[in-house]
Amino acid sequence: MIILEVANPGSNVSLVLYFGTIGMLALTIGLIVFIIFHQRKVIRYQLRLQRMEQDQQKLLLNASIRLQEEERQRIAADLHDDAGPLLATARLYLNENLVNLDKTAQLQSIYNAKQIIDDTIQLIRNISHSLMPPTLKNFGLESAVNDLFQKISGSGSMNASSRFHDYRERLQAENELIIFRVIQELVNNILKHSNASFIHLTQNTSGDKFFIRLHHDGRGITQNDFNKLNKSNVGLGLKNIQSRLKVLHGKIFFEKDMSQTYYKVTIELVREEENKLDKLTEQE
Amino acid sequence: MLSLIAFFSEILSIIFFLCFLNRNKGEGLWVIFFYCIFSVVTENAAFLLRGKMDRVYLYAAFTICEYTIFAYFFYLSFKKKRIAYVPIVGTVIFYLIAGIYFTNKNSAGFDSLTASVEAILIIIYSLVFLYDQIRHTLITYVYNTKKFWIVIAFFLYFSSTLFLFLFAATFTKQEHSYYWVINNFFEILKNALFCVSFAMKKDNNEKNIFHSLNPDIL
Repeated sequence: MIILEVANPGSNVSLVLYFGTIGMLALTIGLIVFIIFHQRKVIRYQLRLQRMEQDQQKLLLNASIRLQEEERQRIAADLHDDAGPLLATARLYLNENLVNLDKTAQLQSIYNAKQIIDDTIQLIRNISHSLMPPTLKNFGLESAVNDLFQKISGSGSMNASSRFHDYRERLQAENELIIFRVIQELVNNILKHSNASFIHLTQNTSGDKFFIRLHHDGRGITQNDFNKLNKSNVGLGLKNIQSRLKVLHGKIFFEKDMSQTYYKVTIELVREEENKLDKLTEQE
Repeated sequence: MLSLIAFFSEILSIIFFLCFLNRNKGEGLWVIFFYCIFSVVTENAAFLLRGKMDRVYLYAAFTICEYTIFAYFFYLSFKKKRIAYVPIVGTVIFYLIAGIYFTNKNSAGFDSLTASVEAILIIIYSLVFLYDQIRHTLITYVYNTKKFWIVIAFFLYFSSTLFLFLFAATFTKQEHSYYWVINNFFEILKNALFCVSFAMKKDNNEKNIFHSLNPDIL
């Protein structure tokens, strides 16, 4: 272009042409470079987000596997340490019965064996109830939660109450179990860590949304703490809550009450989402 | 000399397309291949007709055909229906302007108006294409696609020659030969970018770049 300019001096057209072409070229190259770099930046950001999400999922998965293992170990320990010796003792009594010819002694050993078998039945019932509370299965979430809170209140350590405002239509059994487990985990955490004097649970609905709120006056956590714990390797129970709620596409919020006196945990579910999940399960 | 290189660069892009035929199937690149052939044929026709008749009408017809081919390429490249209307509307405007220009044309000079309108419209389509690409960044890196290099070739060529086409009708023969260097230079660049696009491997990555991530937990 400069050569052209020199070759054709004094022309206004050449000046406009010169600056116009250079300007357009600079603009075009600038735009292309901008697009390439902008896109690279956006993609890198998206990749980072994706990786973070994968890490988070990995953490949740590990947490649920660990919890499952812990649960299995607990059941194995219950069966091995409690049910095993009880049944072995019952067997001993029955063995003794075979060798002992004295009628009174026989009756006594049969009575002892019966007592032990009754205890074992009770123990196995307890294990079974801890796996799947019969109240939940037969009467639904409301009754199961009320039952749980009555038991806590009955222990005298804490004042616990629950109230369901709008639970005429039961959720699907599997979903009720998930929510119950989440409530159990939350209550367990409150009992273990918060030093609270009361827990109050309320349930209500708004439109297609289903809410469960838990209030307590002890030490609690906020949403920031929850997010931090979720990303770290500690807080197994919280990760379990998160992964359970993920199944229902639910949300959980931890906050301090406006009065700064109470901690509030809100579980939010979409009923339509639940219906969709049910349809998917049916299709499968 | 430069015009000769420009001519050979056109032939080179045809050779590249044919050499990498398998890589260029199903991408709408046959439109560009057709353009390259059409361009070479026009250059030859212009050479043969030299001195026999006024070649202005040949170049004017070439501009209209060139625009039509490029607009069709953009029409094929825009996946969203709403955006695909842009080249259709642009084409209607272009044909209207070209029609009015040729009916009112008195002197047989360079068809500055149609060439400039063509350049402006192609620049607009290129911008729309690039905007569409950065809006859907999740698909793939933009420079990994063949169409990106084709559009860049259009974009660079037409933005660099826009001012040249605007003033071309006012040039004397001597000025024309001075300034036509710009056109030749950017034509070589355009054809080189076409060659890059034709030679590029088909983008199997296009589905989703996130496939590169370890999906072991998904």
